[in-house]
Amino acid sequence: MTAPLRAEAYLAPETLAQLAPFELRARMLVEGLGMGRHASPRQGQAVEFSEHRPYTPGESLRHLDWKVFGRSDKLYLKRYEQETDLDVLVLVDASNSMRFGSIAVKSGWGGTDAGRDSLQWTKFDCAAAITVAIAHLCLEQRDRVGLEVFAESSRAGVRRSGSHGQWRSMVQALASVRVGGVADMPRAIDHGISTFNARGLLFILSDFQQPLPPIQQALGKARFRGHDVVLVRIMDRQELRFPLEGFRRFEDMEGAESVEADAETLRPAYLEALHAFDAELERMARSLSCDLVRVDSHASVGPTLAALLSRRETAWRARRRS
Amino acid sequence: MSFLVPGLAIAALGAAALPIILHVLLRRPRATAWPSTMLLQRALERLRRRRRLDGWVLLVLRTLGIGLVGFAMAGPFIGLMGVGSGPRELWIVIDDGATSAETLPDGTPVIQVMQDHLLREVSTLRPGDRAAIVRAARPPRVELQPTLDHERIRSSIRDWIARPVPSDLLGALELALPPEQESAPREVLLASGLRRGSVDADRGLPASWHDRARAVRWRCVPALPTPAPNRWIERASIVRASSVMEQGSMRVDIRRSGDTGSGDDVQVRSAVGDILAQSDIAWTAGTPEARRDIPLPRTPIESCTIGLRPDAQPLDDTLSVVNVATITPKVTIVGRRREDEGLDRLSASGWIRQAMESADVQVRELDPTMLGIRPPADADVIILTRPDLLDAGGWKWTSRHLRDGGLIVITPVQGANDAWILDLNRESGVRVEMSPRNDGEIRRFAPRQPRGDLLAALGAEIDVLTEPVSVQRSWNIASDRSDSVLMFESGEPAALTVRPLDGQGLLLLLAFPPELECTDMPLRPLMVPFFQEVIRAGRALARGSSVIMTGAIAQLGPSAAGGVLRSVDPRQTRVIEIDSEGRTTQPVPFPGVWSLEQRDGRARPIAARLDPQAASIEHVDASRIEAWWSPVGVWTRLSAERTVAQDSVRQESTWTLPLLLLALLFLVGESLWSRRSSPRPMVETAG
Repeated sequence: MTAPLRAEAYLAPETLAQLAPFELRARMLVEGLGMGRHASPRQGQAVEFSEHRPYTPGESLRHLDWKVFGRSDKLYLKRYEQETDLDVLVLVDASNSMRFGSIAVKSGWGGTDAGRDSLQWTKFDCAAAITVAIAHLCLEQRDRVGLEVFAESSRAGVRRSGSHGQWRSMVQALASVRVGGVADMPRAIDHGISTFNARGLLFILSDFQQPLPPIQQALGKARFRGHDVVLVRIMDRQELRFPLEGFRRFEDMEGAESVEADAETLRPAYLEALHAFDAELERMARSLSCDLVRVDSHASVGPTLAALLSRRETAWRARRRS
Repeated sequence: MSFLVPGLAIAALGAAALPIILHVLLRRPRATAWPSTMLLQRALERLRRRRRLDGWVLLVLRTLGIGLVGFAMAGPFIGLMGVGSGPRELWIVIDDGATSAETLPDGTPVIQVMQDHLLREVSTLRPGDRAAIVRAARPPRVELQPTLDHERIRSSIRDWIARPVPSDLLGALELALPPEQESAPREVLLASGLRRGSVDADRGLPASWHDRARAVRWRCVPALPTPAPNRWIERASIVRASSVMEQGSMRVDIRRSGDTGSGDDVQVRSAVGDILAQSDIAWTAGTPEARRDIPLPRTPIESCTIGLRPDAQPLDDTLSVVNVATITPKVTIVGRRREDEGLDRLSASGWIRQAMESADVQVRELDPTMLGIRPPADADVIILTRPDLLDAGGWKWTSRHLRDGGLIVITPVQGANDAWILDLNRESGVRVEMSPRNDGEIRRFAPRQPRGDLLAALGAEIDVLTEPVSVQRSWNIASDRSDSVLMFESGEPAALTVRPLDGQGLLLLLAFPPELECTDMPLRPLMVPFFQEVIRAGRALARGSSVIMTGAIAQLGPSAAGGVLRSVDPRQTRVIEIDSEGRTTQPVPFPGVWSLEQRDGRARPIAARLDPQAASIEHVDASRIEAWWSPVGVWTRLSAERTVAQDSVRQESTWTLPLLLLALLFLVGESLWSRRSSPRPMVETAG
């Protein structure tokens, strides 16, 4: 008999505090169904002034700006932006590589399949923590959020919703999903965007330890359909620093391959390869106008997300000003 | 490169192998689960070349570091061959000739000094180095071909003894020279005192050596100090001691270099070592030579050995002598009596026969025509008073007798054709010219006659004996290989000895027949001692083979063909065979009295001597040696003192400190190279 889920154990109070000042902003116009905080491509009904444009004869005088006419004797029409809600889908990589972790599980953490047995704070745990925080943020600002946990295929999914029980459902899915196998991210992306009826925001949480061209192709489709995409690359600190020593046989957690090498000898070349791959990933993200966030799984989730949100808000404000 | 402590060098090699063994043994990998090997494989791809390089660089640095420490502790030093020249090939030329018997002024044998140097040099050989031994005593030979067995080399060096034969350094060095086609570097180490007896600095070096010696490093042992004073027996002969036990004496000529003191003892010993006679010699200050006539006992002395107290060169302090006078000479007078021969008309044959009567000589007469038919096989001396009557067979036999070590005395013939001169020259291998003088002038002898070996026993008496003699009719005689025995006052020879071009023997040619028609010599006191001494000493001189030299093939004449030469010294028995040409089949190995046993059963003693010049330890100036050797190369001398040598190796050419520094450098390099692989963390998060 399993213990009842304590959803609160998946979102630390300090994370909540760190994210409180921020709102999750879509970088582009989104097509929500209800009223929300996000700019809609549709012109709204006096919701928020957008711009003036010269009057063309024959047009309705309903939105004529009489104040401007009185001051300048010129006819201008007022345009308004309609604000709408946001569809957010979080894709979480649950392949075997996400089971990797090199520190003990953080105290108070509710636990996932990845680190439950090893009592390690795995990359999947980190991804789950980020997902939970994003979901909480979205639901707080009355956006709809959904979840897709994938490996070679979809492992678990929570349909997008803005209901009060949505967050708990997502936590439940993350806590119970089996982590393992090989990730097929392009397929997961394709599947994810197929669930959108309109433009939305797509979070992809993974270590991206796979060839990028298929991913780029899948992301290209998402971007073509107007979705905003945020790539969250989660890496363990051991992967980032490679502090290992001695002659080792590195066994691939997602396959049968192994590499034998002297860790100290390999370190410089590995770090170079890591830098090169990271640069490649960044180039891909830039070319598709996706956001890229690099996360050290040992670090706290709050500051990382806060930095992301801050950046997006700054971009949103700048766009508004322009 | 060589090592002061070669064992440590080997240990260093073993120590250097340790990192390699550890490197191999410790390469068991620890299994590590890793999220994805994609990046690792990319890294490995990048690293593939560098990883190998790094691993090997580290291995090499560690190996070299440890190895160099060991090598440094082994005390390496650069030899003359230089570094990195591969295995050495050292040819050691040992001068084991007579001069190496020298004792230095401090009493140390030269051989011991040289052995120390050589053994020390051999100890510097590495395991892969080869060494060879060449011995220079005549005949020179390669005793050990290049070998890796250094213990055999050491053993050979320790077995070094001075042999009482001359050195043939040039022959030995030629053996040590590489063949013309070979260009591999080679070291030649000469262990010789380079004394006068070993080095003939006046003799040029073969031109072909220049090319052959191009890749050769010449080294030799340190120069010896100035030799200690030395004296040696220059000559010794028995004077007037015949088989009839007349009183005889031993005449000994001794020379010396330096101040050997005021006097010496001379002992005459029999072949078996019994003392026969003894005498003191008083040296005159500043005089390098002394002569002493030592009375001999009235016992037949066939052979004996004269000895001095051994000094700096002991090998030149004894000399063996054979007394040929102990055997009654057999003389055959080949002539023809006159039909009217009386006391006042004696022929030359008659006068000579009469001169022999008082001597212990067996005389027989033979007609010239019978010489070729019934030759006197056992004759020692042939006196030809009628050479004009000899037929071809007679000349052939005469020629053979001469070459066989016989003595031929020829007197010209008055009133006969001198065509026999041509036969003599043709058959006998001599070049003699003879023509009658027809000036009618009465000729007298020179007041001072030559002091040759033939009449040495007469000494200054010969001047007195020849003074009253006059010659009315004479011949001009000349030869290109002759010594004047008697001389006219005009300086022309009255009698001369000629050696044949090949073989032994002695030809005595008189410029006048001893007949009263030509000279009054038969009536003068000169006649008897002259012919008796000619027979006695001439026979010994003719048989030059009664003295043979050590270290050389002895020419004993056709009569010795097929016989053997046997040492009579009971302490060392040795038999040498004689070939069909009458030559010994091997060089005479040591001096002393030998017995020549002919095939016909006859035997006669022969004295074997070491040439005093070949044993000379007289100092040869270093500049002369340098000049002599300069066409071929330069001799580099080894260090003089053992301790100084090793210290100088340590102080001047040791590589210990540089190697230690280099090892330190390698180990620091290894540390830096290891750190080169330290991690460079990437940015963990991005805001």
